[in-house]
Amino acid sequence: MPDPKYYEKHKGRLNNSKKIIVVEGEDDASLVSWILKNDCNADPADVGIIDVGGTANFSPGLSILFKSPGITAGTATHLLILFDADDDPTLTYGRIKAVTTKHGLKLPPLGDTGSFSNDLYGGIFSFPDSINSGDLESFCLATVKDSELEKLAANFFTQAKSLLDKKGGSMNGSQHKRIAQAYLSGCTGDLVRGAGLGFSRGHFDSSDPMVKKLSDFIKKSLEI
Amino acid sequence: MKSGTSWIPFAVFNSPITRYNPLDLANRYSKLRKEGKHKEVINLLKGIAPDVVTVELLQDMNMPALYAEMSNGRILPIAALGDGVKTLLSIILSITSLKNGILFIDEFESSIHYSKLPAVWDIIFKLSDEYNCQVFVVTHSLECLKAAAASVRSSQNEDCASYHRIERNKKGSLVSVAYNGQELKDALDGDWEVR
Repeated sequence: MPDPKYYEKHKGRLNNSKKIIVVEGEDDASLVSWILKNDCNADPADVGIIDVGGTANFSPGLSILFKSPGITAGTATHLLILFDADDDPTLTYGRIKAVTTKHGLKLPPLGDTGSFSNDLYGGIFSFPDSINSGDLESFCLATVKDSELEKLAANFFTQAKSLLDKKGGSMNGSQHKRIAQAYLSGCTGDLVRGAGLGFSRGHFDSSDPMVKKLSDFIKKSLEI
Repeated sequence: MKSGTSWIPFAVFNSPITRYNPLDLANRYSKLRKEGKHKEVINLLKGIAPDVVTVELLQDMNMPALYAEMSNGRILPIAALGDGVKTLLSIILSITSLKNGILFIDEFESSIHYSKLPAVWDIIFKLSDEYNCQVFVVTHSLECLKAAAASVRSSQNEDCASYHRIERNKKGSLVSVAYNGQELKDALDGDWEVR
C-alpha cells in the first residue's frame, strides 16, 4: 500500500493539499510516497498523491481534477503529473495537453517544470525518464539492471516468450510488467503484486541515479 | 407574470420549513384531482411508501387536509406519516403544480432514507421532464449526489442534469463550477471529491 500519510483512495484530501501529485494507479503511488518520505522529506500536510485509476482514465481524471475544489478554489499551488510513457510518451503528453488547454491551463514541456497558471506551478514527467518509452516497471527494473536476479527474470521472460511463440501464442501488455513480476517473485519476504510496492519494500535499488533524478524532479516541481 | 417581453416562470421554494404547509398541499392536490392526474401521484408515492393505498382530501376543523388511506384500512392525516413520505408527496405536488415552472428544493435528503434516494431522484427526473419543470436541488450530501448520478445513469440521458458547486475563488467572489451529467458520474465513480 502507498504511505497513507500522502495517499488515500478517496480524493477528498485534494481539498486541503497545497501540492498535488497525479499518478496513474496505486502502485505508482507506492513508489512516489516512498520517495516523498525518504528522499524529499515532504510534509504530508502539504503534499497529497491521487491516482486516476489507470492509464485509460488519465484524461477524464485530469479533467475532473481541474474542477475539483482544491484547484478551483485555489488551495493547490503546485501540481505534478507522472505517467507511463508506454510506447510513445508524446502521445499521452498530447492528450494531457488537450485537457489542460480545455481548462485554460498551460502545460510545461515533458520532463520540465513551469507554470500551469498564475496560481499553479509544477511539472510533468513520464516513466522511466521523460525521454524513452517504458513505464513504472522499466523504471524500477533499470535500478537493478544487470543484477543476478534481474538477469534471471529477463532470461525467464525471453525463454517463456520463445516457448509461447513456438506454440503460436501471444502476449499482451507491457513486457516490463512481466519481467518485474518474475523479478519480484524471486525477492525475499512476501510476494508483492506491483513494482512500485516492491520498490517501497526495498526490492529495487533506491540509491540508483534514476531515483535521484526523479526525486530531484519532484522537489523542483513542488518547490520542496 | 410578464416582465418586458419575457415570461417569468412561476417558481416554488420547497424547504423543510415550507414543504409541509397543509393548505399548499391541499390546493396542489385539489388541482391535480380536478385534472384527473391524482392516480399517477399516488402510484409514485407507493414506490416509496407501499402501505399507502390512496390519498384523499378531507375537511378537518374547517380546514382542508390531505389524508392517506393505509393498507390496514386506517385513515391517517398526511402530517402523521413519516417525513420521507411527506417530503416526497410535497415534491411531487410541487412539480405537478408547476408546469413550465421552476422548483427549488432545499436538502430533501435529510428526511429520506438513503436507500430510497435513487427512487426519489427517478421521480424528480420523470416528473420534471413530463411537466417541463426545471428543478434546482441544494444538497451537501454525497449520498444524495450519488443517487442523482445513478438516476442519471439509468435514464441514459446525461443531459437531463448538471451539477454546480458554489464556492469562493481566491479573490473571494462566489463562482459556480459546473459538471455535466457524464462528468458528475465519472467523478463520483472515481471517488473524486466534488463538494
